[in-house]
Amino acid sequence: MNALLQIDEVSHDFGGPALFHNFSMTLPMGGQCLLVGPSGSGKSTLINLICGFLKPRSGEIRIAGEAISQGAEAARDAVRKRHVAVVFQSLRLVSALSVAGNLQLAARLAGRAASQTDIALLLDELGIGEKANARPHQLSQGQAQRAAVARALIARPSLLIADEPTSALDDANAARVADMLLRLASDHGTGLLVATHDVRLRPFFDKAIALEGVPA
Amino acid sequence: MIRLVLAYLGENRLTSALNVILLAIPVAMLVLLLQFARQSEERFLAGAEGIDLVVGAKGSPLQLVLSSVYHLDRPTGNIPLAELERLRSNPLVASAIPLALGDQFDGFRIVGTEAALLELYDAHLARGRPYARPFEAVIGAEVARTTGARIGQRFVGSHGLAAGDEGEGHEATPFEVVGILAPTGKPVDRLILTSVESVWDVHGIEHHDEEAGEGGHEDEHAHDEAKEGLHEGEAEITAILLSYRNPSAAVRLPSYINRGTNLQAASPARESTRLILLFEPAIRAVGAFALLLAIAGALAIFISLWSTMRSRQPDLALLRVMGASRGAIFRTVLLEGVMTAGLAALAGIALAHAMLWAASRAWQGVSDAGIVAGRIGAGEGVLFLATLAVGTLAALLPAWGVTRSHLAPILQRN
Ligand SMILES: Nc1ncnc2c1ncn2[C@@H]1O[C@H](COP(=O)(O)OP(=O)(O)O)[C@@H](O)[C@H]1O
Ligand SMILES: [Mg+2]
Repeated sequence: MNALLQIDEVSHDFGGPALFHNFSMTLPMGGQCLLVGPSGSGKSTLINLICGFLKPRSGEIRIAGEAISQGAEAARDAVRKRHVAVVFQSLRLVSALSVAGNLQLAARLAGRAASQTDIALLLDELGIGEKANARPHQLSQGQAQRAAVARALIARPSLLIADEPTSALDDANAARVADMLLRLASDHGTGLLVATHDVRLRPFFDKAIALEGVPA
Repeated sequence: MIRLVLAYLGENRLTSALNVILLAIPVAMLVLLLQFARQSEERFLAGAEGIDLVVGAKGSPLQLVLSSVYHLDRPTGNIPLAELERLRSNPLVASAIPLALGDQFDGFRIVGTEAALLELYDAHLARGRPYARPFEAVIGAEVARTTGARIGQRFVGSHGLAAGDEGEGHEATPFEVVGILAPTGKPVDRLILTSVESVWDVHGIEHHDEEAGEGGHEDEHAHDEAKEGLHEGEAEITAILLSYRNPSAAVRLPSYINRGTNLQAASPARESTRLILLFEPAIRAVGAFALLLAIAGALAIFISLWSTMRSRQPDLALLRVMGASRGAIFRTVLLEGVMTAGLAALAGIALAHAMLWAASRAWQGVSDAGIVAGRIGAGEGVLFLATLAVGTLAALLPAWGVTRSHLAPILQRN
């Protein structure tokens, strides 16, 4: 069986020193992993590579056996669409649509059918059921983040990626978010990759990969 | 995707509405122009149908046509009644209908004529009967509607041809309405028809006619010697409407009349074409102005889309993350421009017709000219499509710009 995520000897740079040199990692189906490293160490860049938004200088990335590090953009888009959903730190919801509207659009764009009931159930599961018709700007930070996670999960990805989900939270809330992500990922049978500079999250994960970054 | 575009339009309600208005105004102008040009042309052509030639006193041919076909201008003068018989005996003439003008009631012209005029305009009585005796009159639909005159009603004509003319009343010789015509959309709607003899009688003109029961009636009013219309003296009429017996008449009759007699012959077709040509530069100028406004509207759409796209970049990046292709993003932006333009086109067309409707209520002149609202034709269709094209064009560059932008840096920043 294919690994969920297979990164083989990937190197990348932005014209300066290499951010990664021959970086490799694997994540089995349903696996959970923390990607930890200081700011600027290349975590977000790695996520862009995994999502196929960037092409690495060399090496190969496969998701569920499908290469996303090569080929035309449309092909990389298709692989991402089939397998990956991402929650960004501040880029969470389409501002013009309600929470439910965001979920509906996400499901449709991912080519998945999602009924009103599916959406209501998922929002309930995340404790924001009463916010279905609210607009993004009417939500608190925590609610918006949950809505973004719901938006990602409605697409039924095999890999859920979260970039800095806890950066602005106090200890208790950071712990709550980490718990939520881990629980949801295993409940939905989704692999989980969390990128953070927040070392408080380390104890929640069995597996962690550290990025050193470029020495200044 | 359409719902997303609608949501975006709704999110920037004010800007969207402003853009719609900016583009709707020139659309409305163009529709108005289109309607005026088409409807007045149609009206003109319908009014002159069946009239090959107008014969009257020497003067401006356009004035002769306007006064005796469309009943808009003042007549060029009078001609002797004898000319009618002479023309009737001409083998080139199929029919000749006399017109005797001079008086009006409430701004509507009293026309002394023959029953053939009704046939010419294909006018039928809605109520009542044709005029038979002196001082009986049949009124056009517009006259009946405006004055509220009914069968049996008596009215007094006054000298002059327009409502503003301060003529004296012919109190001694009131007319009686005996018939009301159904609407025709032609000039006859605004006329009060009676016999030529009645018009003479009002003005105390001696004529030898067996039907004239009240013949020899004395007119105690001294009319000022206005050039227009009839006044005391020998039996005269104002103009004659002719139709040709054969095509060769079109070549020979006008030149014969214009050169060989003291009369003037004018062709309604030629004069109305000249009139329309007269309006063409004005129509062109207004059209060019409207196009300029349309360009301004398109520019407004372009600028607002361009600036919205900058602020919406993270949103659109998120859409890409959610699985929307570049093509889909391109289409959303394009659709936003197209929908703005489509709304503007619909609003503009509706606005123009609302204005036409309001104008035809508020100003008699507009409905007199035969301009009515709600007649949406192919012109509007073309204009609608053209407006959509303008919207597409305005959205093209912003859409392309958004589609070209690289995702990774946007995502990195967030
Ligand atoms: N598009 C880009 N062009 C040039 N440099 C970039 C670009 N994206 C990121 N970088 C640089 O790469 C490094 C890693 O950034 P990033 O992946 O965002 O780190 P992290 O998410 O771990 O904080 C930073 O030094 C950043 O300035
Ligand atoms: Mg980062």
